[in-house]
Amino acid sequence: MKSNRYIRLGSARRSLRFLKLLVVVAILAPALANEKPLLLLEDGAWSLPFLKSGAAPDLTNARFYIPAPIPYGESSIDYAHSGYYSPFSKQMHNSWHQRHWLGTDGLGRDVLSQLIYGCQTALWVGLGAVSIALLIGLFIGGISAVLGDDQLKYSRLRIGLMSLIVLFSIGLLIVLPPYQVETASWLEVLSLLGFCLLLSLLLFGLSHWLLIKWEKKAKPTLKPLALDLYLNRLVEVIESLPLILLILALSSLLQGGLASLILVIGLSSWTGIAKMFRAEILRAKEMGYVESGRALGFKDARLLMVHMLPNALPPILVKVSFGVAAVILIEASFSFLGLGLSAEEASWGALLAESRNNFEAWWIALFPGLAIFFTLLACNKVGDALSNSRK
Amino acid sequence: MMAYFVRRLLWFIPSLVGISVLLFFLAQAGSSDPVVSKWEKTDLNPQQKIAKIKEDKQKLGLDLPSFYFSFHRQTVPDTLHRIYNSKLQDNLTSLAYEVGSWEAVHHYYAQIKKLHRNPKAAHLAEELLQLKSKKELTAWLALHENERSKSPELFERIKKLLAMEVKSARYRLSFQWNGTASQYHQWLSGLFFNQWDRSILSGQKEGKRLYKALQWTFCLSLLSMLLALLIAIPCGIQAALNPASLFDRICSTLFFGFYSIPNFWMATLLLILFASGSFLNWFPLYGVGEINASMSLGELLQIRLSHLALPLFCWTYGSLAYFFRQLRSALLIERQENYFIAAQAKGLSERMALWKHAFRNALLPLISIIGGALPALISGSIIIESIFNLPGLGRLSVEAFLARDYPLIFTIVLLGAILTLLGTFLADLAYHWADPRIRMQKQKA
Repeated sequence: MKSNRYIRLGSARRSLRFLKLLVVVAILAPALANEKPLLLLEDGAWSLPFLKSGAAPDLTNARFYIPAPIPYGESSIDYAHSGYYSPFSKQMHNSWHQRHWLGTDGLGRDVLSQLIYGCQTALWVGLGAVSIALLIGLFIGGISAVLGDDQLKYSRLRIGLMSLIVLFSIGLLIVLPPYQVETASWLEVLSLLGFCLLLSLLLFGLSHWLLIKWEKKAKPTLKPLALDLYLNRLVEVIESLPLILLILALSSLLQGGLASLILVIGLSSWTGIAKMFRAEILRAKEMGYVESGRALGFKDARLLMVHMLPNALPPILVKVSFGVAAVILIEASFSFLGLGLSAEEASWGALLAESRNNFEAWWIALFPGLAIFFTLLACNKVGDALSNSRK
Repeated sequence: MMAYFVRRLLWFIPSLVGISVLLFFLAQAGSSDPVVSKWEKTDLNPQQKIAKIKEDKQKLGLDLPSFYFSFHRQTVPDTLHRIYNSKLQDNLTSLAYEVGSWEAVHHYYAQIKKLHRNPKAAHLAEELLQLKSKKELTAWLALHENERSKSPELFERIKKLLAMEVKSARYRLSFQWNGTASQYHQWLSGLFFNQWDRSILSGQKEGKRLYKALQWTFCLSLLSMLLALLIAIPCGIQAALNPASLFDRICSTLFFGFYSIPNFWMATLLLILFASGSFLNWFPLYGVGEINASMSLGELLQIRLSHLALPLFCWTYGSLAYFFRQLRSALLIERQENYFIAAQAKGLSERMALWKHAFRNALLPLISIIGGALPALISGSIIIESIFNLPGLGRLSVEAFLARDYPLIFTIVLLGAILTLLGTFLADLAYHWADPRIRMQKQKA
């Protein structure tokens, strides 16, 4: 079996290299495929048009310019080649440079440039949604394992006070922001949110401190909160809802767009990570190193963050690499159904969906599909290798 | 066992209530109103449109406030939901926010409505209804100063509005109790009184269509699950019998590839290759085919099979690959166990030992996976049914989602959850049957 394992490791390394390449392509996308030139010398001044927004500059009287490798941007339309030009068909160009290497779609957009910008979307969704899922999953899994069913105790006063503070914060959020949020700048909205959060945290901390003092003095009866039980039930329920149905229900009601799609996918796919992290922490709690840490007087938070989290990292990484694949697949299926993103955002799924308008255009079905397939395959291979390396 | 299931069922109630509340709030936050967008598309004149929207909203109870209680700024009135046009609602609230008093805006709105009845000045009223800030109002006033005679009261009102600005009212919160006269309550009680399948889009009950759709999805899911198991189990055992043999290598590579192929891509490629007529024309493009009672069984089967072959394949291959991989790795672990060696020492052939002893143990993780695969199958149905145009639950849900028909959406989510619950329950039962240890524990306890 040994040789088999090395073969697998080799393919995992190649997969990792492929994923790195995708990241590079996504970052360099505006420089790789752009109708605007990379470097332009006009009227004695050098400029970098591909970084600027707006229409492409007129190049007829430019003295010198370097064009992008693929002279078609995310939304540039080549009207001369609208209506499905195959990669092998005769195209009416002056130079090889302008050729549509992977053909065009019905509108005349370059398939290769769409693929390159699709990388960006896939990367955003993969990283964004998985990090949201990771944050929530680690938090929920961590507190449910550390606090268990009997660590968190509460008195009636505490419950009352805390819910009052929560209500107050919600009220703040309703009242404070300006009425027309669309016209407000991002900075205003963010600073307002930050202000609300800070105020609530301050109130929370203050009342917590006062309550602890009071509890020490008055010694009220404290009841344990079965946090672990409730959180486990929550995970169970979320897992029993069909994921796509849930995401669809949430995202159709939200305004479309990449950000809300990422948020919704992240918010509904954290359960696996939470379950796994909880199990890892429960296992680690029995280990010698945690016991000795506790004997040295370390606090729970430090034990969790500094000692148990790094030890639970390898299984988390496995989950992450499978999770990235799953999330990219979800985004692609959504765009394929025309439910996820708006039409201006390039996405492999949306490009693939166009092939249903014209079954002759095999290149529109083949290339984005290959991009999705190889990305998923690479993520799965890396995940596989990671989980095998632990055995 | 039963107690566990009942407990699980009971836990479902609060979470479904939570999800329904969430869906409701998001539906309120969404910009487009399903009833309005339904009538906006028709070519009635504006007056008729408004009348129709009013009628529909009253019929469906959408003219009520959304939840049992509501919090809002003081400048937002408690009677806002009576204004039927959501754009108008926005404009008026925005104006009230700026001047700091709903009352003043309300009087202004009443004057506009009066003006609207005068056919000569209706266009002025229409214009005013589009305005949403003091700045726009000032500009309008400057432009139409010479038309003051048409409604002097209105012009007075506007002047008054422009002079007002009570900023403190923006930051006061008011709480309002709506009680049972709320959309949420209406919907929730409808769930129990034979109104669960109400649709906003058609304004009617959709129970029959839902039932039909459920039937299709259920049958196809079951069929694809059976197919996947029937292929995955023999292949998995054969592969585990001789790991690293040619058969194992072919199966492993093939299924690993399958596992990463998105089903919508596979479906599109198969359609292009076999159904579109651009290359081959072996299968029909979409639908489930027309059948009638006079057909013989053979014809019936031929029509159904030719229509369902491609969708079933696309539905099946993902779970097939997953089952195969899980079974193979579980069997490989069981092969290392002592009991397996003992069974061979007893004189069983490797194949018999694998079938009789290892298989049963390897089945346990597979059973829980199958139970958990049901949500994935339903998710798969959304994509496959949309591509092949099958009349199942998935396509129905996409239609409902696109129309923001949230009563129907929620019913479908509910159905999906119940189906999943059923699947997990069946998996638990199967687990019970396959693992004597669980039974023994029960008897001891």
